[in-house]
Amino acid sequence: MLAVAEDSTAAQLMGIRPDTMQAIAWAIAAGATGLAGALIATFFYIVPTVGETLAIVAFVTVSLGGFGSVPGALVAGLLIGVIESLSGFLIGAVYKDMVVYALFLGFLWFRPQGLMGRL
Amino acid sequence: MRRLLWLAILLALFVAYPLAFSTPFQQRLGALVLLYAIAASAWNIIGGYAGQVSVGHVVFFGCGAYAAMGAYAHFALSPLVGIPAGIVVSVAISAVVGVPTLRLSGHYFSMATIAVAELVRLIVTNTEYLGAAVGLSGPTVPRNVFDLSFISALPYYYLFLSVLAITLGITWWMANSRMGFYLRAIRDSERAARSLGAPASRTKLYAYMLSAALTSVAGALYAMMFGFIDPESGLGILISVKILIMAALGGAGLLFGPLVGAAILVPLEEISNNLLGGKGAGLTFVVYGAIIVLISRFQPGGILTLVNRLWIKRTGKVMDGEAARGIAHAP
Repeated sequence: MLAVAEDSTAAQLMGIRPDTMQAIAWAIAAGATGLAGALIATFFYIVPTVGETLAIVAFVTVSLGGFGSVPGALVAGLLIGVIESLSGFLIGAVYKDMVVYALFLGFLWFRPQGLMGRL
Repeated sequence: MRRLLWLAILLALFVAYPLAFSTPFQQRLGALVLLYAIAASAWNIIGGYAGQVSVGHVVFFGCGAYAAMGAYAHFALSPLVGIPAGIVVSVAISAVVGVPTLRLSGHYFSMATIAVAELVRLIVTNTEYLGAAVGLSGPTVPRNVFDLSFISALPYYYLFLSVLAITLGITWWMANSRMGFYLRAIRDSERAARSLGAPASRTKLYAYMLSAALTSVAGALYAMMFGFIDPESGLGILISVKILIMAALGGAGLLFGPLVGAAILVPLEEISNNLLGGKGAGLTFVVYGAIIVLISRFQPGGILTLVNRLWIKRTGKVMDGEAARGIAHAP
């Protein structure tokens, strides 16, 4: 899977099927997100468009942690959860997403590869 | 010479359109097509020529729209005065987003543009000065012609046509300048372009700023035509998607691609809204989704690339230099 992400033509020459690999990655990602959705539904409100905000927060989390880094995503996920809750409590509920996005943009200036990612 | 002739015929068709189709609906439709063509052409500079997909372009659209309406609502000036202010703010935002992210390859740029669009939307929704969730209104009764508040869509049509001509002129000039060559080289292989001495980050940043400024003008024109702006219509992420799809459908990286895309999608949206009434508003986005899937699966270069290929097959020669050179990349 990493080989396909790096260079799909070269991976093909080595006998790896890029399409299959991408399909598997996509399937795992979809399954995991579905699981997260089922878990979050027990304490969160649900509307047809609830995924939009969550998806953007997920993007931010992954780029904050560093693309392709599992511990990075874990740390960033915890960090963002704590920051969001704290800023919602200390500054005001409407500003909690704002704080996260602003921190993300500020972060990009100083450590663009994310917490644990490589360029 | 042949190309100039075709260009003149195209221009004549656009000038004649509102005279031939003179119902208010048709004129309004024509104006909207041109408006979105301006925004999509502006997106095309960074998304098509430079190959950097910005998903948060609506933020510049909103800057222009809010600047135009703010000039009227707070200072009782003509909305036209707001255009330069909108451009300045847009270019500043594009620099803040572009400087760190355009140095990197990969998804960072697209991610950052989404984040900034959401950030600005949330800030505006909670700022009383900018009308919060209610939005800002333009002049209800025009005081003079500079308020650009007309009942008929005809004046807007010709205004948008001239702005579109200027936008396409700038794009054409840019594509044929040194910067255009740099951008195409960077899009095809950034590493190769860098190693040959092209200043990749700087060129991409300039393209992004230019694109932001032009999008902001499109936003200001939108606000003037509708006389009203709120966070949903001025900063909603769906407008970014709309702009992006128009450029990609017509052919990203081609001069007339966005115009073709807008000429297909805007009538589609307006007619489906008309036929289905209030219930059908969401259907448009179902169509958009289907179009994204179809383009990326079958014709990543967009309609103009397809037309060009068929033309080559039939006549055995290339239609024109622009289309052949800029065989587009899927965003």
